[in-house]
Amino acid sequence: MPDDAPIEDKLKAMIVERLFLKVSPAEIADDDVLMEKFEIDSVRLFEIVIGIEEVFGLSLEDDEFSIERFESVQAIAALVREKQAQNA
Amino acid sequence: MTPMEEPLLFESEGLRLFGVLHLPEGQARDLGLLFCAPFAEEQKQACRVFVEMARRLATLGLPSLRFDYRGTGDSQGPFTEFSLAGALHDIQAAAAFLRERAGVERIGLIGLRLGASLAFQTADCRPPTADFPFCLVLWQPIVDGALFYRLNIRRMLVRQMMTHGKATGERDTGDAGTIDLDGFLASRSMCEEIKALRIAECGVRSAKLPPTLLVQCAPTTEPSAELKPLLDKLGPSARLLPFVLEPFWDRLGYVDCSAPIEATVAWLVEREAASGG
Repeated sequence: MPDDAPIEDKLKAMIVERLFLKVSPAEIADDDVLMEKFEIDSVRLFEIVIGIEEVFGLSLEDDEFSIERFESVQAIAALVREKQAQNA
Repeated sequence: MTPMEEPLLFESEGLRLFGVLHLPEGQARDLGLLFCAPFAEEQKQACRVFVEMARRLATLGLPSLRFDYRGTGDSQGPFTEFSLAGALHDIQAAAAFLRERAGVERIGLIGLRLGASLAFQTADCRPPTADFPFCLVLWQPIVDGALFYRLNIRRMLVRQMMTHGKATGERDTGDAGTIDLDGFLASRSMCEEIKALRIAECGVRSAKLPPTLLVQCAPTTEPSAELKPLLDKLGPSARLLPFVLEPFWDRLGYVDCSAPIEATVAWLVEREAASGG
């Protein structure tokens, strides 16, 4: 995926790959509630967290581990943008 | 052949370690396999894969031993007594025990995650003339200990978040020398040992490593960024077998590991036969 691809697209590709989902990234809507749609448990959410840190080169702080921040691609993208702005 | 399984205890530096010996019925081949378990939560999830592989090996005439390091599983001592240095001693003791009980000269090591890193270190730090381990099977070894430690902390934070809505951070254990590492009371010194682990950077003492099978379980078959430095270090002594497979040591549900198990067993049988077994 190109470096300048939208954050949302990178997130969807990462989620599909790391969770071995049998859907295409395009089938995930920005506002889909991930835990409901893909039956995400703590282990799978752990994979998403690690994927976010790897793909975007971020390090999440303890107080950023809040469930609403990981509810949807839209919410995660907002977290990524916030972190990128802090690091800029 | 009908394999036999015997739960037992053996000693390592005065501590009783629990193990299960898998023996083939009839004549065993001259290669025993010692399973080096992963760490903490990953050990719980991966236990069954080792059982299945040990049973498969036994049907082919290859004896093996699964065991718990000191302070883990059913072995003696609290988890705070687990250390990498201690685990390396336990591997040596377990190998000696397997050699004697199975009547084999040659011992190979099969390790998963941190167990693979310990198996590698056992080979890497051996004297140049030593014939143990005879071969190495490394399933997704931990190459960067600091990253692995960080993953354990991340797992704990995610669980807290799923339970309470947000992470609560490190919990007080009532003892400054310990840490609650995702439900395991670990010594801080052991945590420092893990953080310092860099297996692709060690190994100035050993000129030649035994034949090595590196098994990767990942979303793609491309060598992962974590394993690449180790592959470079291993050079021609190693073969990489990549599988598109979920990290079963990190999953709650069933993951079919029959493909990597069969490939590993076939490689071991080939090694044993090639060496005149």
